[in-house]
Amino acid sequence: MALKIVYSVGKGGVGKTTCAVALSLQAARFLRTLVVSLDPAHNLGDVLECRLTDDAKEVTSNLWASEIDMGAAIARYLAESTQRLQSMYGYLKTINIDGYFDALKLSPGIEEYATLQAMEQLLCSAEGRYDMVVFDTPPTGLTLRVLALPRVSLLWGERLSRLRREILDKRRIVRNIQGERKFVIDGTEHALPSEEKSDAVMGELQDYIGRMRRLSALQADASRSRVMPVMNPDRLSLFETRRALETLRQLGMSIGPVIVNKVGVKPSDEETAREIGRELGMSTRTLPFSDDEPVGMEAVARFAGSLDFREWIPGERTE
Amino acid sequence: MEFELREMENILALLLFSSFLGLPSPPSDLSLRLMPHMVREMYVMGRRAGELDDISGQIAGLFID
Repeated sequence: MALKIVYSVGKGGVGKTTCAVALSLQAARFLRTLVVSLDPAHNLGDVLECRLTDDAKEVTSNLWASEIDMGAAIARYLAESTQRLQSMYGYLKTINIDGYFDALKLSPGIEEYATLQAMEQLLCSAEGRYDMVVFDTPPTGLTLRVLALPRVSLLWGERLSRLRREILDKRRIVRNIQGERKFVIDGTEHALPSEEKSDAVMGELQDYIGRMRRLSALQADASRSRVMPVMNPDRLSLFETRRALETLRQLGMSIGPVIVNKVGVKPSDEETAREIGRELGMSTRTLPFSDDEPVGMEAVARFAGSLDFREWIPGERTE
Repeated sequence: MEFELREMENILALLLFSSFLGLPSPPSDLSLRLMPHMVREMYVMGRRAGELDDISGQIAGLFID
């Protein structure tokens, strides 16, 4: 069975972690399920009342949970990048790679790429071990940027690969006239590749394009991925959800009904929830506000009992 | 001094707004992955920047000792 993926997405504090756990609990009746938090400010462990780490822990039958240490994931990503650059040190003493790297550490986009890499690695290791992964995502802005990365990166990879191919074509023409070209750095001679198969840059680009294409295709595959939007019955939550849904639709992602959580605090909440559905042009499902916080396995199981969460499982019922 | 000041102001503007001049920045992740395979290009770029006495040379000077 191909791994299924659900993204629980919403504004901070709307209850997306609780909904992610509730869905996972129901799914665990028939699917080996892993619920994993990518939020830098985790509270998955708080909801499950247990200490979680990067290593998945079985919290109940057929259900595992983990909290990815995003700080460590970013540090790992940077360490891997440094490792790859080590090979350049010997040749490029004049270039301040350390300075460049120090600047890069704090560049915009690094956190998003580290998050994407963490998700990709997790999905690779989950294949075959679990039937479904439920992501409890970071705040909406970061989540949308991470989900958009494969498409943006694919575009860049394809354009650069085209340019590289033109360079290699012209190198071959020059080689045919002038013979094999070499370059010398600090007295060491290096061959100048002119064939795609021996060109490391082209190899890296093709590898990158392949990765980004797989991730984009996975996101857009309704039989494998689905978004579970969670919000509260208020205007601010509506504005943010509307913007998020627009981006998710542009990415071609399958979106399940919108969960309007904590309904009943105000007498008008039921009507607001219906209005939200009309404004978003989507089906909504409501979950009542409860004085008892759904913390701990039993409380979340009770919470999960008030809604059939199977409709957010990819490949199950769709709107 | 006035020339230096003007050039520094130009460098800052170019660094900040080069994308408007048609010099887009690829995703930093992709640059990082390709960099180890582009030693020659980095070497040539550094050498040329060192020989130049203009804005390009000064911009490159931010990362070239």
